[in-house]
Amino acid sequence: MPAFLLLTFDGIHDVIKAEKLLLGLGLACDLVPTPRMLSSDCGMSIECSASDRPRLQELKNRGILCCKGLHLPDE
Amino acid sequence: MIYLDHAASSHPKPDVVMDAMMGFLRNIGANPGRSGHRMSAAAARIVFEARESVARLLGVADSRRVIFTPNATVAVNLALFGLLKQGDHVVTTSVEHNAVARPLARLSAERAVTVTAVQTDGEGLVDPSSIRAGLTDRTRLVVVAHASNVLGTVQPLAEIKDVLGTVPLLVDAAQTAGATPIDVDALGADLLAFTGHKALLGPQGTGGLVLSSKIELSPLVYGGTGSRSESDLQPDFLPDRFESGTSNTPGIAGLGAACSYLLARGIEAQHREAMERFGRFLQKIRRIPDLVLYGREGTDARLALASFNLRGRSPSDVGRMLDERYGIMVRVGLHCAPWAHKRIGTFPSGTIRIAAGASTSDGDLDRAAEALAEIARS
Repeated sequence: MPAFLLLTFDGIHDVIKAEKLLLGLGLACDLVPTPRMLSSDCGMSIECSASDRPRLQELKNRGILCCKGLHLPDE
Repeated sequence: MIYLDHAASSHPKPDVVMDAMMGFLRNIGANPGRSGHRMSAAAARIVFEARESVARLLGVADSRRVIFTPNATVAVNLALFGLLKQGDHVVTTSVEHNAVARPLARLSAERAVTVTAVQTDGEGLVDPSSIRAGLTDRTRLVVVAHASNVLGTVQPLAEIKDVLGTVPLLVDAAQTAGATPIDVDALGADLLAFTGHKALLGPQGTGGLVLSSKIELSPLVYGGTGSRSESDLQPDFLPDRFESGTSNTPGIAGLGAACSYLLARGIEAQHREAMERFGRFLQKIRRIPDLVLYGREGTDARLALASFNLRGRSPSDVGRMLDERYGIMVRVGLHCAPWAHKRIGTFPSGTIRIAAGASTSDGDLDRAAEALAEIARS
């Protein structure tokens, strides 16, 4: 299983908002440049631990996490 | 030196504003959100927090709806040129600033937009029923300055909003943002333009437009946003849709710090205190023979600014005397608002305007009143 997953966003405002949310919830995350294969999004993405995927997906489904997608490296 | 020209631009700014601007320039300096490195991220966090602070201060739940612009004039232009189409009708008031009057004149020539400027009363107050009477089936927008920059009269926005039905309201809050409590969401204002450098106590070169979720605008400026970079098309999401090009990040850092400062102090308490102080000043200058005061009688529904003339003297002469003899800085003339001066009969020479601000003391206003009395006697 990959160690990291990537959250992608429309724009930088949503990136920073999500970073603040995740850090506030105690979830480890890192701002990184968006890989070229996902470049139809904001130039920055958030790298999270893949083990947090269920929780991140739930936050996204509930509209709390404003990301566009959750991507594993091979997806 | 006594600075009483806060309606033109507030001075001095709180130390936290200058510290935030210097902190950005000295330690960060990168382009917010344009690159993937840590300094670009740090810059983006500053812009994000500033947007959140402005949203909190203006009562906007979703800070994405706060669009940063260089000033209120650009915000008004974005709203008017972005919304109005060929043959649309606009209702506004007879005391608007040139920031509204000039774009509307251009739109009249360019898109055959027609304008009804509803007469205010002699104190600059507009009757909401007059606005309702001005609406037609072609009315696309109502534009109202929350407060006149000449008279300081504050318009009854909630009552105005009540009579508009589905016609959107654009509020020009250049004079009121930071001076009086504003709750955009509670008011239901569709568009609100603000400047950062007046009562918000931020630096010049900052301002913005608040958009409601119901409003569809075309951008005024197209270009790079750091998002959807492979596409020639402008992003359709906020705030990127309306913020092409590198932002004024040092200024926005200062504006964010200023809004946090004001939120901590409380706008309502500050306004009450300012009006008590200014009410005492108004009482003093009313006693000066030959001083003609315009605008509202009392301190309700007004800001801490006053326009007046001394009979037999031109405003520019009085302004020069106040500056040279007493070190008191005020603004004289038309204040970029000829409509308001036509309404109160002071066009084209204008008035002398004294505008207090966050740093104004009772002593400052006492000295201004004494100086005016001396000039009137001389």
